[in-house]
Amino acid sequence: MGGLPNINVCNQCGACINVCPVEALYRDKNGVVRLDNKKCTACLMCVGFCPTASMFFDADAQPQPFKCIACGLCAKECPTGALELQNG
Amino acid sequence: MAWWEGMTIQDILDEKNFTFRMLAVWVDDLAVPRSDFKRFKVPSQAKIQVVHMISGG
Amino acid sequence: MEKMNILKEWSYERTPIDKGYVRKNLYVNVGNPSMEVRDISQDTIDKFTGGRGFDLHLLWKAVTEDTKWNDPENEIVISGGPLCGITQYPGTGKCYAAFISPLSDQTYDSNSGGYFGPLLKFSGFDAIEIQGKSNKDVIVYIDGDQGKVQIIESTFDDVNAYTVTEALHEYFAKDEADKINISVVSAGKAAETTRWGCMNMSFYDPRRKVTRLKQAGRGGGGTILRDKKIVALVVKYSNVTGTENNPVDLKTLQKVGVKLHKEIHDLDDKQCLMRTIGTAHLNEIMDEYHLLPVNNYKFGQTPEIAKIHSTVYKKHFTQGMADGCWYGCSMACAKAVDKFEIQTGPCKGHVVTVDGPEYETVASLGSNVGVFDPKWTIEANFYADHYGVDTISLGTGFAFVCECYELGLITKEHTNGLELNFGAANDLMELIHRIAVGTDEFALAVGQGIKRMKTIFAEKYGADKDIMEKIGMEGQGVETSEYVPKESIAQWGGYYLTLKGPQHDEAWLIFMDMVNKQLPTFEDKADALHYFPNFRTWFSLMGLCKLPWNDVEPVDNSYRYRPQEAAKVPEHVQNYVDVFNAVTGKNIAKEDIILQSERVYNFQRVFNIRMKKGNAEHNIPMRAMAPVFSDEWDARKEYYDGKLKELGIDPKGMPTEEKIAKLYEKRWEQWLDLKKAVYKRRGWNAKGIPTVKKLKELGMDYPDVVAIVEKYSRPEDELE
Repeated sequence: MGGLPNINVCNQCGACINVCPVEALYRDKNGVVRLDNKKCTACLMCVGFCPTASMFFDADAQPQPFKCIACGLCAKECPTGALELQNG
Repeated sequence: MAWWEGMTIQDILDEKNFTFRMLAVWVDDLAVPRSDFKRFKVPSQAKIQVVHMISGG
Repeated sequence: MEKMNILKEWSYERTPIDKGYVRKNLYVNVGNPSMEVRDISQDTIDKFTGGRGFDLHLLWKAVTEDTKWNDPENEIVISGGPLCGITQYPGTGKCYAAFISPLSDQTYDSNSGGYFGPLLKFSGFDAIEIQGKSNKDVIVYIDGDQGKVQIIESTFDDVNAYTVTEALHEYFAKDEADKINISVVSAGKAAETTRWGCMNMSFYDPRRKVTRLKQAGRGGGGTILRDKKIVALVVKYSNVTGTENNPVDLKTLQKVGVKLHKEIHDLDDKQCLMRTIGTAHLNEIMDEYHLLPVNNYKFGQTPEIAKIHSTVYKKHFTQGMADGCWYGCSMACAKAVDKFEIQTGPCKGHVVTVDGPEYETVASLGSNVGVFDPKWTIEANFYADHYGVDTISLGTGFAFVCECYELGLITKEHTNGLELNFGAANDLMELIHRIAVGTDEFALAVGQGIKRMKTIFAEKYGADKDIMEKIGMEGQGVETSEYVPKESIAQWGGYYLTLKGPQHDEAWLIFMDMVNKQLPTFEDKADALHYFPNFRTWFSLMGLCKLPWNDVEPVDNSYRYRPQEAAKVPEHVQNYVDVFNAVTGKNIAKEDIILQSERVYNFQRVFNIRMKKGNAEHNIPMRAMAPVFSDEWDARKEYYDGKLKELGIDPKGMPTEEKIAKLYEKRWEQWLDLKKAVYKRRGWNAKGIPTVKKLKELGMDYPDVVAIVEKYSRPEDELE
């Protein structure tokens, strides 16, 4: 994108929630979209349907996909303050 | 069919009543993407092939 | 529901799946209650691959050439295949059921979605064979969690599908969340009274909180289920993780799967609208091309199309639901009508979720019987599923009855008061109920199917047999499915030169032939009638649904390849090769697909020759090839006059009846030419019997298979 670096970050839009056949994706009490690995059937439809391509998968790590859980560690680490955790 | 100046692929499809969504068109053996059907002007004497991509069932 | 009595129980050790195969099948006899876990040999895997292949292999051994559909040794065999139950790629939960059919008296193979195939496999069985006949209603339960198989005494008075399915999901689940771990195979009352019985296969929808029904619809499998006095087959397997198949290369599987999910996400709205309308997106398309069956295939188009337009149906389907019939299907074409209030019959007043209608039901229980009322079709769909009868057979069968009534071949006296004109919505719905109740003699005659109806109507009601032969749309005893084949020579073959009867899952060539004109010579048509049935057979060996193959295509598909190649959607074929290799660890190429299929295809043909004692004739009714009556000709006068001219006959001044006769005469010759070209291309003789040479080529020259070929082949029938 114009030579600037870009990362895909989940904005907790929740589009993936309806796509999941087993309702493994849900919003927790903080509004963060979470994946319940115990329910997940590793179909990866959420990966294909994420509008910001922010659901990831790596078969070497685990069959289920994974996503941002808004823990804030990346924002804490970023030296330029480019990342921040926002409410709402 | 009769040709006219400025005739597009879409004009041909409308005339033939080819309304199927998944059509593939070749003009003189050149494949034309679906997004260009309304813009692509067909030359006179051109050979047109319209293929309906089968699905069904 | 009160506890049911377990008549017999067996324990077994569940074998995990290794690279797509368990290498075990379950045998259950409900007559002489017994259970066996049998090994599947490497040779069986090499030659029969899985799914329908396994079904036919097991069925062959179970029956003799004298076995009738209702003999105890007839089996229902159900199998998914090596790819059945993976979750990463769309359309991977399918299974096939095979049996000796009450309609055709030879093998029939019928496919279904739902969770039964995958959960059966996870429970430790590549296939299940059910043999024998119980003397009282039973339920066969496979508990894949506990490693138990039970034959349970059924307490159901109401054996209809929704009743049984809902109750059994409740009965075997420990709580609401557990219901997704169960699948129920069921039929219904009309499977007892007709030869058209279907097998419903369920899955639980956690959002709607209802059980949903897919069907192994065709061929009469449900009729056999009820004949064996089986109310349901139930399987339970918990905690599906998506890796049960233990694939060799999960990385590749995920990569290819995500690619397809993304493709469907990006393109379905611009292509086939499967996620929003399902197969019912086809309604107006078929109408535009004169392919929509109207009034028993008399016409291919109707002025009433606006009433059954796909956008009208879309309004009935709840949008935005995760509608896959197995995990990971992003094609999600299993549309449903929610909160639908039933207007007639024993379920009147109930508010239900109806699965469908699919295109075939829109046409069969719709345009083909002259009814253009989506609500009527939805209710007919509901009752067909609930009563356990196939919607295609029911609709095409009714269409025949309506035309017989219109022509005065049968009367109101014969029908016990029903006025069965085309469009007689109320009376047709009443007929469905009478069929299920099973006491009305006429209704019972109808449920025998078109082939036998012709004989019954002639003998009992004095109906004209010749006319009925012309208009009765059956092939090999099986009702035709819902596309008008008359203007496509290739589709005559696509329907009537099939293994099992005129069902569109073998070859659907209408567009290629009629519209695209890609199959100009008989050799071209024969080649397509070799390739496509064999290609589509592959899905049936694997556990795959064919819709993600070509009901979505990559953006560049139509211009990256030559037209003939583009029709095969090469990138998707490669996907399937990659998926197969990623699961099994094998290293096949695209070309191997045809070989795997051709083995089973030819085996099945010999099996049918065996059951029909050498005479597995391919018949085709006149209505499937040409106009029969003047109104059909006149509806497209210019077109048909043009067709005569093409064949070198000048229609000027000719009476319509003569034109009809002349066109049919020419087309009959074309049919004979087509049949010969197709048999030759397939490596069969003039009677359609595979040659020993062909069997050897395929490695299918087992002694008992060759014996059948040698028994019924004569030197004068050789085609080379």
